[in-house]
Amino acid sequence: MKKIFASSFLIFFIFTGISMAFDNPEDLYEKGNSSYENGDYEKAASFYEELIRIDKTSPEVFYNLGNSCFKLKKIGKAILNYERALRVDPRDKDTQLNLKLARTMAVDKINISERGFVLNTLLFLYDRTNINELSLACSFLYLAVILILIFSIFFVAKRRFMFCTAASIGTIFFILFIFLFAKIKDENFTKMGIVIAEKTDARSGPKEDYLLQFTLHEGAKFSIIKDVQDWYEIELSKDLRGWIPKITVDII
Amino acid sequence: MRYFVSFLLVLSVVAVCYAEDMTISANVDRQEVTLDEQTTLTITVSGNVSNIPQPYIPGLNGFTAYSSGRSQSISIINGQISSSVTFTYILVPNNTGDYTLGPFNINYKGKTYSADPINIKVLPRNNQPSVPSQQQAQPSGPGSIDQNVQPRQGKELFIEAYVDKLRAYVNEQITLTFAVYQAVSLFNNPLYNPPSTTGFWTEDMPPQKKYYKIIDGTRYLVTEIKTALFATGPGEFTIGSARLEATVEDIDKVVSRNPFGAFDQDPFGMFKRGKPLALTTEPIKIEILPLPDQNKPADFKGDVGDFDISLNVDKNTVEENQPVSLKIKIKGKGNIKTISSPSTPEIQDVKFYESGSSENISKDNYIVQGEKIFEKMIIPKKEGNITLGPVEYTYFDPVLKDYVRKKLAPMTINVTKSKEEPAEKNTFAPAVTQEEIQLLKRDIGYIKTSHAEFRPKNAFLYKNIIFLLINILPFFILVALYLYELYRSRLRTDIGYARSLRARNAASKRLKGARKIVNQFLRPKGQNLSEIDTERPYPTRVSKDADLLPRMYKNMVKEFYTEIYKAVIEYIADKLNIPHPSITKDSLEYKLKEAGVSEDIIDKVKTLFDDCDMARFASVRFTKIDMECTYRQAEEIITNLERFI
Repeated sequence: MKKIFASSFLIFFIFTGISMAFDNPEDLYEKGNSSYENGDYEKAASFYEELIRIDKTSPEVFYNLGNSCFKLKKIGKAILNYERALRVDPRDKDTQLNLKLARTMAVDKINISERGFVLNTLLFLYDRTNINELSLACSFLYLAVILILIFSIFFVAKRRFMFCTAASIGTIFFILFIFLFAKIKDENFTKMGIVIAEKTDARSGPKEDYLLQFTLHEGAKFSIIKDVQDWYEIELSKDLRGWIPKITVDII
Repeated sequence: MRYFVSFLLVLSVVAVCYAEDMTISANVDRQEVTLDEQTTLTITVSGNVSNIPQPYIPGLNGFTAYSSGRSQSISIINGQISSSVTFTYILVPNNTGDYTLGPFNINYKGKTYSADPINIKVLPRNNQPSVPSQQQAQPSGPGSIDQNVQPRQGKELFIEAYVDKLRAYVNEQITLTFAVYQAVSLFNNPLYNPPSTTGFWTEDMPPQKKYYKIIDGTRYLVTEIKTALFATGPGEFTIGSARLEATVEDIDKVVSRNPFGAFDQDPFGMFKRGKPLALTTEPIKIEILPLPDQNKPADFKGDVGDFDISLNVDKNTVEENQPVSLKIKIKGKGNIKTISSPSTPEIQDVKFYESGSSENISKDNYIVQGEKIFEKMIIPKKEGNITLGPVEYTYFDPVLKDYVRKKLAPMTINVTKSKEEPAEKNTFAPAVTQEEIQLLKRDIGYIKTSHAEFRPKNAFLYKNIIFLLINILPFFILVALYLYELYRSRLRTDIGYARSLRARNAASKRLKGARKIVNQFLRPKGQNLSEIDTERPYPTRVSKDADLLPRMYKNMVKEFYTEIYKAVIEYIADKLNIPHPSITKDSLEYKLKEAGVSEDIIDKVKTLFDDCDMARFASVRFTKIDMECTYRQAEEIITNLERFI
């Protein structure tokens, strides 16, 4: 039984490995890095962007692109790319620090509602894992439960102990599964955006002739509620909503 | 105060309505004074104005003037306000001759009022009184004593200042004595202005000495204030005049006021009037001699007096790098405060640290004396004996008029090896003060150049079919295994269940056996007995003699019916979990009813069993069709029963 699992995992990784070996992302990455080292941030950014365009990304690429944008004084894009990097690699200290620094340079001071200590502790894992890690962890725990249950069928004598173990592992699995679910929901349904233009006007409707409600500046983070043609309806806080043109922002 | 101001305001308003008039007058209490005496100048300004200005006092040539206060009076008579202000000055003549004071002017609203000048004649001192027996001070310095005492016979209050020597060496003590002679009581605490002593280091010598002295029949209370002076350099110096301001009882006026002498004693001082006095002393010239250059030692540091020196260490044996406290004590008469530390010779491998000095000064017999202790720390760096000294100290003795050198015997300190390792050299260096890191400017971290793994942005595991299959398949495996195990365990544990599961199979087996029997004996004969075809329509049960099977088949028919009977009865027994032998037709009927089997099926079962019994025990002959029919009935019964039990 175990062998089957192991080999299926192996097959899975080989499969993903094969799909990676397209084009030549390593070259682009190296070129970007050397451009950055030479101080040609513009060029470096274009290499990293090319990598993202051909959909060969990694947290390092986002991070480096963020740095290039930062050096080019494009704070909005820098924040955007740091956020993207954190989605993939939420525990990276460099990215966290740079994002923090970049945020201090943004014009708009948007109060991100601070979570309390309890919530922070509860969501410790949530904040520090990405979808794939959560998926793997869930999968691992789930398979462990299944395995224990299968064994419990044949080893009747130790059934009680096995059920207890399965129950505890199952509880952890359940929590992680909720996290995973929330993460996936976050990723796919509550989309966050960053203003990348110098400034953008939020209006009361998806057209230029609607009333101008407020102005956002580069680097401001918001969540997207609706998507109508060239406009996004965005939400800053519970009671601050407006429509902004799509070209001025980018989705994380 | 506020009340006063408002009062003045009212007055000024009123004053505007009237013609303003003002007078000024100046008076002295006497127009002839000797140098010993003084005169009082009174300037009175009066007028119907409220704010009287200060009069202008011209330079009072030949006199020293002291303000003695001002008094003001305001009177309102019939609405007429008149106020007067009196300014009082005490004039002390400086030289003899004729002097003119004034004119005294006052400026008020552009008008000038003036008082007539006053002429005063200053006469030389009366030289009648003799000096009271002079203070006997030993002449220690060069030159004769010239006590600068100014005798004032018949005066109720006089002062004098004198020094014990008029010639002295630099830094030698000169005692300045200021004495107040008083024969009357003073109205207030006298104000003493000490003389200027430029060029001298002064040392007050309390306490004040008070004694009575009779001079020419008058009993004086003498108060002496002594000051020690130490010249800081050679040359001619002048001790300035000391001054005393006091208010004394005016005896003359008291007497004149009381012609009856009833209040001569004036025990309560009711009628006493004060007379302000300002007294000065003559300046004193002092010659300060330089210290002789002859025999002057090189290490002389300027100490004058009579001293003694001693040396003291707190321990004679010490470990290396441990401190030894060294005390040098200089004791004697002279200016203790200016004594400087005697030099100690440099010693190799020994560190010296000055750790301060303390002094202890006493002024017994009005001679400045005491001791000064210099403390030093010695830290030997190497083991062995170190020799301190000889410590030498040189001072100038003004009595001997020569330099004196005091020498202390060398002192030896035994330094032993340290038990501990010698401390780091920078032990004594102060710890580097720690500072907060100054953040000059913040920049982002550097890019990542490590190896990166590239994959599509949306390559999430949960979207990967293989991953999902890996996760889903084990679940089905689990379910399948569980169900199988459940089935197996039921077979193991539940006999009834097992029997009922096996019942159909067993019945089929028996039915098959029954058909086999028929096929066996009918086929070889080749008679047109058709096989019992299960596909054939259900035959009607018609029994004709012609169709009856021959007797030779009797046993076989019996066997066939037995099989049929067993198939059905065992099937029912298995299904209902009843032991085979205990089953009877009657109990069977009851059991089937209990199991909820419908009546017509029960009837069919009963009919079938009747047929079988007839064949097995009554030797009734049957036709092939009968057998076929029975077979079908048995099959039908079993199929029907399957639905109920």
